Formats: sequence, C-alpha cells, structure tokens
Amino acid sequence: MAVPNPDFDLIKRFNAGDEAAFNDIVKRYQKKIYWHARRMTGNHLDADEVTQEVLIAMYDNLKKFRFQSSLYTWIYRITSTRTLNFLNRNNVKKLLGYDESNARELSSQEDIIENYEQREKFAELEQKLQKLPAKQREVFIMRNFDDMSYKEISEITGRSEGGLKANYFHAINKLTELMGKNE
Amino acid sequence: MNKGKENIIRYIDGEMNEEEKLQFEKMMTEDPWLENETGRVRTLLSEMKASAAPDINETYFINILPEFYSRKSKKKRFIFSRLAYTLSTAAAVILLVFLIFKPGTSVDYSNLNDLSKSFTDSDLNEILNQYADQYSISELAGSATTKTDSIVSNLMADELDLSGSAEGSVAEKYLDTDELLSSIDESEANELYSQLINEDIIKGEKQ
Repeated sequence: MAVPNPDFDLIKRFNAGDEAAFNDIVKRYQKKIYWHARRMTGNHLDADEVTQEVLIAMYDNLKKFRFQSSLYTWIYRITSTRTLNFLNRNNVKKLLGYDESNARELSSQEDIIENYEQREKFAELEQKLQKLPAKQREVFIMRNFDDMSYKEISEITGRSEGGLKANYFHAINKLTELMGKNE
Repeated sequence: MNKGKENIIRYIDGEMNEEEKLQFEKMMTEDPWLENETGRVRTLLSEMKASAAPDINETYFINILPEFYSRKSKKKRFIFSRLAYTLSTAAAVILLVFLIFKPGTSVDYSNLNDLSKSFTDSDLNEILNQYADQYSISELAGSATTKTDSIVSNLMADELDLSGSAEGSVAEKYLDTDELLSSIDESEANELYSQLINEDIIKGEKQ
C-alpha cells in the first residue's frame, strides 16, 4: 500500500483548481525558501525579491510536477536556481556600474530580525558568507544549516558529490580562517 | 590541500569510515594541536549554525501570500500591456516595410492634386522657377508625347511644334494628298483650282 504524501495531495488539489492548496504549500515551505535566499543574498530585500520570484515560478510550474521527487527537493531546486540567477544579475549590474547597495543599506531597517543582538550576529555571519564564492556558499548553507546529505544537495544542484565535498571543504577552510582573524 | 585540515573537516562532517575515525581520534590524543584545531572548527561551525536562525517578526511571513497575489496580478497586467504594445509595433513595422518594399510600387498620381494643394502659391512659383531653368518647354512637351497615348495630345503637340520635330501642318501630316488627287480627274481638279482662286484662299500663289 502506497504511503500517503500530504505534499502530493496538495499538488493534486491545486492542479484540480483549488487555489487554497497552493496557499498551504507556501505556508509550509516559505521559511525554508526565505532563509536560503537570505543566507545566499545577504540581505532582507534581495531575499524577499527572490522568495517572491520562487513563489511565482512554483505557481506557474506546479502543473508540470511529475511526482518523481519530493516537493521539498523540487522547491529547493527552484530556490537554488532563482537565487543563483539573481546573484548573477546583480553581478552584471555591478559590472555595468548600476549598484543598488546604498539603497539596500538604507532599507536594512526593514529587517525582520527584531532582536538587536541576534541581528548583529547574523549580520556578521552574512558578511562572512558573502566572502565565499556563490557555489561554495550554497553547499555550505545546505550542508551546515539545512543538514542536507551530499546526495540531496547533488539532486538539487545537479553537481557531483565529489565536487560538492571539495566545495564544502574550501568553504569551511575559508570561514574558519575569517573567524580566526576576528578572534 | 592541507591534509590535516581536510581530515578535521571530514571528521566533523561525518565523512570518515569507522576505521578512519578511530585512527583520527587516536591521532588527536597524541597531538594537542590537532585536538585544539578540531575543537575550534567544530565550535565555529556550531556558532554559525546558532546565529543563522534568529528569531524573526512573523508578520513578514503572514504577508508573503498577499504580496505574492498582488505581484501576480500586476505581472499579468504587465504581460498583457507589453503584448499589446509589441503586437501593435510589429504590425506598424510590417506595414511600413510592405509599403516601402512592395514590388511594383509606384507613385499614386491621383494624389498629386491633393499634394499640390498643400503648397502655397509662393512655394509653387519657386518650384516652377527652379525647374524652368533646367527644362525647356520643348523638352517637357517631348516628354509628354512619349508618355501619353492620347491622339489629341499628339496632335496638339505636333501642331504647335513644341517638340521641334513636327513636319508641316496637320493637313500635310494627316491628309494623304496623293490618294486625294488620284481619286479626281483633271476637269474636277481644274474646277476646284478655279474655285480656290475665286475664294482667294491661295492668295500667295496668285500674287
């Protein structure tokens, strides 16, 4: 007997025209999407932008979901792709001299982390994460913060497990060096 | 790659098999630096993990869905307006290209009157003066006879000798005198001649 999958039921309901099912999916995964985007982009406004892009992509593509992977993996794959695309777009903008960093800094008061001490610590972590290349950062976040196995990360990113391990090693090496300098 | 560091990370990451793990733990008991460094990396990673999930204002997550639906409807409107703009621009470009490059396209002379009305008298005078210097009346008339097939136009042009190439009068050109003379006998011809003299039509010859 097949094990019931609540995520798959929600997808089937949504594909049958039940919009409320989509809302339930969003409520279930919105924090995971946001935090991945937040740790990758390093600020709330960009993370919010990526989160909304991911939700739109989910809404537009749920009909194409083939029930061959978990919904979590599918959503994470969209989030990973959208985040890397967003970062690439930003890099191009910076190259062209169109830098929005000042605007972002002014708006950082809108951050959703209310506790001052936690916000400071998180800002410090964000600064260090931003010093890693995007792909190393991504592996580090998935492995260290989301406790994913290399197999899961490989399924999401499409990269080999060996390559991911090498990325993780380089990321930790760099981060421990940065932390050591601050001590 | 630093083998010591790599082993520390593999050990913390749980990537060592049982044998490697036992060997690494034995090395740590014998090497204080290795033990300290392993402890330092493990602590840093734990601290990072702890600070990576701060308490947050839940209002943001409550508003994510309303914001999503608002953006979705705006995107839909934007797509429709962009589509309409793109289609109308494409249609205009296609029409323009068709009009310009259509094979056998010629000037619509029926609109020349409308075009001429758009000029003021002074404009027309200026244009006429400009072209009068470049084209003589005979050239213009010659051009007219080749471009029209109107018999009347040809007759008038030839009679007025505008092209400078007309030979004789209309009667000389279009009446076959040989045929006329052969159709009358000598007495009829003499009679006609006497009538013409009497009418003073060929005064020049008489004088």
